[in-house]
Amino acid sequence: MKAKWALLTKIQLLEMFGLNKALHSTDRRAKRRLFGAAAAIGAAALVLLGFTAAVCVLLAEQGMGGHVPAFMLAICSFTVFVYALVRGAGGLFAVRDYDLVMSMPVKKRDLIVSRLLCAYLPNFGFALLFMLPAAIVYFVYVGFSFGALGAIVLAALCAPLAPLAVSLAVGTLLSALTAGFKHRNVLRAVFGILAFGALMAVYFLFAFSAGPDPWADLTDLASVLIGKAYPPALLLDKTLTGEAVWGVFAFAGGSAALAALFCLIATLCYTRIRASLQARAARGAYKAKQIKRSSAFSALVKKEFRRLFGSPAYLLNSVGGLLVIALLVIVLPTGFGETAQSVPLLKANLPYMMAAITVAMLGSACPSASALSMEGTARGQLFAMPLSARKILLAKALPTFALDAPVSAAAALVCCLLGGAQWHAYLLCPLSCIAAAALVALGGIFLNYKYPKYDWTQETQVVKRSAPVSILALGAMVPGLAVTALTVFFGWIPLLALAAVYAALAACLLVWLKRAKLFV
Amino acid sequence: MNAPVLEILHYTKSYDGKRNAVNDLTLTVREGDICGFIGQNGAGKTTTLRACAGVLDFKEGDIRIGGRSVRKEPIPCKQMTAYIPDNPDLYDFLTGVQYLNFVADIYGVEKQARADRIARYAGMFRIEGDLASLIGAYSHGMKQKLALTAALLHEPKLLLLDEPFVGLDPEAAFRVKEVFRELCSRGAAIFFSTHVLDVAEKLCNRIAIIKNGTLVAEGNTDEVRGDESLEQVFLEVLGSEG
Repeated sequence: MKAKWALLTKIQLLEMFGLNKALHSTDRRAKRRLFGAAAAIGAAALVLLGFTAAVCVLLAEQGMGGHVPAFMLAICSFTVFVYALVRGAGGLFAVRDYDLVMSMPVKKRDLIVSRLLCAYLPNFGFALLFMLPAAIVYFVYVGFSFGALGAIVLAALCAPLAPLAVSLAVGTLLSALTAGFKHRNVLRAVFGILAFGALMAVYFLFAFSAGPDPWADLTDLASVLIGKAYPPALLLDKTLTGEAVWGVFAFAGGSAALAALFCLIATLCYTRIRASLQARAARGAYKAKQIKRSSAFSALVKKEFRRLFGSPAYLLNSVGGLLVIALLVIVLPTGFGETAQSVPLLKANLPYMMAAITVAMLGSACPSASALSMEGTARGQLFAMPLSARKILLAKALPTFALDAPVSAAAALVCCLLGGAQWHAYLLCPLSCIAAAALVALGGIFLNYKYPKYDWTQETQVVKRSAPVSILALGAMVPGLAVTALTVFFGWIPLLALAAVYAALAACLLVWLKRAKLFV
Repeated sequence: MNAPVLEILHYTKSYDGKRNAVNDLTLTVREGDICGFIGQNGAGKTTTLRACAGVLDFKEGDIRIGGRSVRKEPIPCKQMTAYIPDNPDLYDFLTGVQYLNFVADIYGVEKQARADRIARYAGMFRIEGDLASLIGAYSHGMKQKLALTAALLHEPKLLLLDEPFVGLDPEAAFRVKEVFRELCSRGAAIFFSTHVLDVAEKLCNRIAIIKNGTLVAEGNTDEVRGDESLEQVFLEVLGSEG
């Protein structure tokens, strides 16, 4: 007989990846959608793999080959930590099938182990995308040894443990502290944004201020970067550089101990934690002034904003790109200021480059890519209302545009100011961002209309892992980064061309909206 | 004879292109009618109600509300209708009063009218003390009461309800029946599915029985029932071939 934790894990994994649905669905469209989603995730993984491989080679070419695995360990652990923090502890405690599972002869320990495994396995897969190229590059540039292979494998296996344990603990604590508040979701969202912003700021600031002359000693720079991004990764570095063989064992032991400690505390206090998370807000009677009248479209838009700001996971996954844009705008021109000033080509085209980078990042700031799926099982009530599909979809696209357009346009203007741009850059850069924001908003809702996922049980399945979100993030990044590279050589022309194409595509999507229909 | 509010004409629906979930269903619900739609699980009740509400697409047949086709003119039809699904998953992130405001805005209900109706129906279902709380904190029954309150805000001409009595306490169920009768006395029509045959027998003036997607009995409650109870008739219909 299989262990119960293994059975519970299997059930959750089948749901998580939609495998069971793909195997047993008789609906060809559903199968095609699942295949499309799998292909999109595969493509995203390949792109990430290519990107990490390129970074590894670049670092190795700079003479930092021996530090590459530790560097990648630091980056992936940091990323796992941030994303797990954003996701919160809902997957562990606020599960919908709790009553069903706990009514069976299952120990709490089995339930927690299965939930943690389900959180661990995708993150381990994610860590492999970093550690696999790092290992290959390390062996090519430094040389192969079984000891190094063992150290890297052990580090990769343990990489997600500590970040997951810490972020889940923080998320649980936050949820428990705010459980009694009526607007707890807003509080959690605000905290999440602050945490995410602070972490990104710390990361960027350390990355771009490693010392008075960081390029003088590349080995020191590598250690500084690894230490600042994720200090425990230095332990792997010590092992691989031959400084201390025990380093990787200390890393693995520390990570496993932290995970085990979290598991123990969670098992002992599971019922109490869950009860406090499930606490309901106090009853409240309405006041007459709360009854206000507005137009149907305005009501729809208000509802969309309330949805966005009422869900920490939705908000954080949707505004993450905007935070990155804001930080990039502050850090990149100042971080590369001296370099840019010394290279005339860069100096002249920096505002266009920055605008193109902003455009590339907008795909990661798109609530509309999951807005329709977020209706979930409640979609019937909206579709039954006397509203055209166009009105519903436009209202769902509007928050994305309302957030992305001003933030990205302001970022572009700041870059123009910092870069001492010519007058026409002040027009072109923000307008490009506005065109991109329009396309991202409408493109997000178009993709979500084509590939909706209504049968979610946790919001992160839609706001983070769904096909439209992945396609849009990648789809905006590839042309954006390509145009960024082209602006170095051709100045404003590629940016203008991109803005024109984006504006035309946005107009086409507006026309398409007239033909859209919504059914359950 | 009263004017028809809901006309289902040769409605046929298949999900997989092979087997019909509903087969050539024709039914008329007139002003003042309370029509109970009964059948076993999977018979096609929800599929029919969803199509009437305009949320489920179909290729064959037509459904008319107030003389207008749901397929060709969905928005005017929806404006006359209120639909409550069997498990009302409302917006958990809104408070009760925000949800009612939202629904009233969509249907264009005037401020004073919505204030009066919210006070009346929320008071009737005893949820006025909870309307400032998030819907996420509501029990199933409270959500059902909120959904009913929202459905009544624009005084619909046609009320489509899927198992409206599930989760309601006896007092609320009594109030709902009172409201149904009152609405119908003002010319509205109600078409609802139920498994509670006693309620259907006492409340409805018309009954429709569906079996495996096909309408097998339809008419005035007294005609359908004859000298037997509705439960006996239903069991006989289920037991028969076809």
